[in-house]
Amino acid sequence: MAGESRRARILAGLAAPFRGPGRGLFTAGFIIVMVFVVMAIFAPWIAPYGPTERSVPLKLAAEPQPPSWGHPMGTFQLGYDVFSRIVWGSRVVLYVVALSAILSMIIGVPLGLVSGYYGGALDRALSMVMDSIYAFPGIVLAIAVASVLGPSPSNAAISLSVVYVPTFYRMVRGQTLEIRESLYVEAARALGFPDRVTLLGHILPNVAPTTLVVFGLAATDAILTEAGLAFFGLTVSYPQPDWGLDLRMAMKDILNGVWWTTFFPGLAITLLALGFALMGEGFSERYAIRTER
Amino acid sequence: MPAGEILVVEGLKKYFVKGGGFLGGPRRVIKAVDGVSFTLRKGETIGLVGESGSGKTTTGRLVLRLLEPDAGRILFEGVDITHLPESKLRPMRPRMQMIYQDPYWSLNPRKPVGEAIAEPLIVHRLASRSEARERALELLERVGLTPPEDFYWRIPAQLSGGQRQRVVIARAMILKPELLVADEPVSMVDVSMRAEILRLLKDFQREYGLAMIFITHDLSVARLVADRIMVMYLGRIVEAGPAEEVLRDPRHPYTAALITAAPSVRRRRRRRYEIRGEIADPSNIPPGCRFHPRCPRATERCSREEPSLAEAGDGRLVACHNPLPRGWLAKWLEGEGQAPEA
Amino acid sequence: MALLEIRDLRVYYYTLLGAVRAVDGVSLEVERGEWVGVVGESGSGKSTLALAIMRLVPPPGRIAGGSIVFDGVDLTRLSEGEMRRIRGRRIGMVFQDPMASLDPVRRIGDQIGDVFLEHGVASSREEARRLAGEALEMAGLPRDWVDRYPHQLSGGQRQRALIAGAVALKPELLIADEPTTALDVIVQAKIMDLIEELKRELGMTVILITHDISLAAERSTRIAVMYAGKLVEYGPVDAVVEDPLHPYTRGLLESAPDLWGEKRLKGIPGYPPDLRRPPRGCRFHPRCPVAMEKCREEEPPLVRVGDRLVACHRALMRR
Ligand SMILES: Nc1ncnc2c1ncn2[C@@H]1O[C@H](COP(=O)(O)OP(=O)(O)OP(=O)(O)O)[C@@H](O)[C@H]1O
Ligand SMILES: Nc1ncnc2c1ncn2[C@@H]1O[C@H](COP(=O)(O)OP(=O)(O)OP(=O)(O)O)[C@@H](O)[C@H]1O
Ligand code: SF4
Ligand code: SF4
Ligand SMILES: [Mg+2]
Ligand SMILES: [Mg+2]
Repeated sequence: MAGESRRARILAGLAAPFRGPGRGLFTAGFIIVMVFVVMAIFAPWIAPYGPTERSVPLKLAAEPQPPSWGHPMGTFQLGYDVFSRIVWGSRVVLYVVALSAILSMIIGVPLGLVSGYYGGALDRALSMVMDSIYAFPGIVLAIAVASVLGPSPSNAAISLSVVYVPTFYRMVRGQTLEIRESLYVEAARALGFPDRVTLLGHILPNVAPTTLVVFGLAATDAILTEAGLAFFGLTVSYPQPDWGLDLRMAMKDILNGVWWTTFFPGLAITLLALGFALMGEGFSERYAIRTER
Repeated sequence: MPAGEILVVEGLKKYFVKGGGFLGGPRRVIKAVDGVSFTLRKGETIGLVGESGSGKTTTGRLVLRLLEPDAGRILFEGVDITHLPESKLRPMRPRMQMIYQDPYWSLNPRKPVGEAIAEPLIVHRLASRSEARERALELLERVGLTPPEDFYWRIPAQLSGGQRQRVVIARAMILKPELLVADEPVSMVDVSMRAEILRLLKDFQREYGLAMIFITHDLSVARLVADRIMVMYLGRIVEAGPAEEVLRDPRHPYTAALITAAPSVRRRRRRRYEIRGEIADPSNIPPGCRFHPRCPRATERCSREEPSLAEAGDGRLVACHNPLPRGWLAKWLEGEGQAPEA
Repeated sequence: MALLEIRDLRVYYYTLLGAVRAVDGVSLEVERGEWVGVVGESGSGKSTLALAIMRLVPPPGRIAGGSIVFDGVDLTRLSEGEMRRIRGRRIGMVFQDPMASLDPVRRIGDQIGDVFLEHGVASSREEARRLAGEALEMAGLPRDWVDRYPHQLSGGQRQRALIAGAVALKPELLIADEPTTALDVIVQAKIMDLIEELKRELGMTVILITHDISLAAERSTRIAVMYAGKLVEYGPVDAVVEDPLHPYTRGLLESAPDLWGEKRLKGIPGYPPDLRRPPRGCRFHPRCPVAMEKCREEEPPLVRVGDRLVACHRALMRR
């Protein structure tokens, strides 16, 4: 009985954001994000061409070709298919964004918990460091760190996580401070529970929903910052596909009246960011969580 | 009942400091508990009564070392726990438990209540996970949440106030404690369900030989559960003694006021022993007897000299320079005359 | 003629999950000069009843039927404008939540003064404040406390200020909804004294709402007992308290600890029902120790028995 009920509870928990208030927002965001995830996983089957495959006859490759039946989003210079590069590029983007959000969560959440729960000198020191990072403009910081680490998707993810650790830290610390004063935490102490049990069993579960909202916010922001890093060639190097990088390579086209080479990569960035934002928004509505931004 | 002492408290004090810092407003020292001493025997129930803000909850939390005392001593089973570090205290905690007034916030809102009841056993390694679960189901049944399988996976939001308080009791009782501090356990529970919860506590008490500090602002509830009653006023005990005797023959003017003010179906339109005003601010305690600005029997000495809690015969302790005469209340309630003059 | 005559009043809250039948077919009358105590557990519909008399039921609640005749006028038929002339002036109310009824950033005097301005009794803020000072004095607070803010008052003093506001225009009827729930017994007794004194001085009629049957019994002339949106018993206090006709009234009396009563306590098993799906038949039958087959099927009507009203099949058999 107990085992089954546990499974039922977990399933209910997973389904929760799709029910109740905010379900419309969450579901819409979820669908958008899933479309990109499916794109990334099944890129070889979805993309009609390889990312660096010349998809038009040589004589046409010198100039970007407008959208047509064969190339619904047109082509870049050199004859790369825009749609295919967006599909392949989603792999890099999702990898960097997901890895950075997860990394910053893994680091920021425990630090916030410990800092908020124990307080004292450690808390003051950590808060100071985190606040100064937080005050720094994200993109500038990410570029600085990435240029030190060198261009690669993994390094880009690491530099992004430096930007978002304080976001998780501040939120978790604030909530922990509040929950620490609650009666059920005192009750846990009265029952003789060690700090580990109180932190992981009683405080963390109550911080978790907010953490997921912040995850949505961080991921949204990370997509835009990643595009920035890519723009400066700090993720992959051309001609490997990445939306931000493609955007930069296509900048000059705008002056020639060629819109599709910037419009579609830009649209992809915006859509994916919107997807994460909607998920976070829906989730926060579901759990009535207010976030200061 | 074994007559041994389970808890000895001597000169306990707790001052909270508010404000004083930058932008913090004026510095105020709130003397929440200001020199409390008492002894609790095994299996005994003390009813700790007093008005809001008199320091009842603070006393309860101090005794269990959920707050650090500023002065005084606490002996639990002969062991001085006043300054025991938390690591040494932790193994002793299962033996002393607390039940809170507010059944809404004393449970983790995201933990299924069955798991919450089983958790103490698991954390203290007193049972395996499945044994603990079995015990939790038994206790759910025992506290009247039946069928227990239905209740096990509910979260607190899916229970009524009375049901939550049962969960809190079950969680405290699964550890078979020797000392229980019950802080107004029925004041937020619907009237018709109070009897059931009080009976549960009494049953557990008999079964485990539990000693209990039962905190309440309601004398009529204290009367039902307490062997002895301690009346608290502004951080001090002003009167203590066997429950029925204190209630029938109060000696401290404040106790008399409390008793005669309590609404009663049985004695409607009874005479009331009137006192002035409301309880003072604990950050600004009157000099001398802290009750003197409200006391009808106050004399000049009362505003100068603080009375200490002293024996007044028959195991009664009273902190008053001019205690009411013995046996006066019954006569006064029936008769006409004035309240006895000091 | 009775001052207040409620007939078959129904007040429902139309929530997404169904209509909450918070007051469901309540009838009772209150004579001039009476003190009626309305008792019942949390959620039984006491506050809703009071709000309905004031025509202040908050949405999604609505008066779904019945009439409330106050001094010959059916309040349910009045326009909002006409009702406003009655509120505060002819019927005063002390609301359940004292913190929510006082604006923390406005002076007490200005808040009490509003009622004088609203009803055109005062023509200026100044005059309103002066009258508010008089009202405070009537409630046992110093006149110059008009300048104080709510947080500068203790719980008991705040309640006095609220009562001052409610009786400022010397209404004929005062409805006090749990005016002492958050207060200690000594202060509670003093607030009750105050209400009693004002009642005598102003010749008011009082409806006191409380979950504490001992408090209701102390000064009432009659007691109304509510359970799950229904009036289950209504009658003179001595009769109801000494010889309750309804099993719920008996249960309430037996579960109220009493300093001067027996030293044993009985409860009522079970829990009050969900008012969206109340049980068929008598709403109390799942908890009733003397329920019969009939109780499960047939709702007991509210019937006059001597000088009492009672809604119980058993009680009617006894007669
Ligand atoms: N953590 C705290 N910080 C500051 N002041 C506190 C704290 N806890 C209690 N106090 C103050 O100490 C005094 C005594 O409080 P306590 O809660 O012990 O009273 P109580 O007798 O339990 O009252 P109640 O019947 O309202 O529960 C009050 O004035 C209260 O405001
Ligand atoms: N705004 C509302 N929306 C929906 N349901 C409501 C609303 N206000 C009250 N109710 C429901 O109506 C019923 C009666 O509520 P009411 O406040 O009248 O009870 P009460 O007897 O005053 O209780 P209490 O003693 O807790 O004050 C309850 O079941 C309550 O949940
Ligand atoms: S010491 Fe004096 S003031 Fe204090 S309670 Fe006794 S008589 Fe009253
Ligand atoms: S009608 Fe029946 S169930 Fe209802 S109170 Fe009377 S006896 Fe009990
Ligand atoms: Mg308390
Ligand atoms: Mg109410």
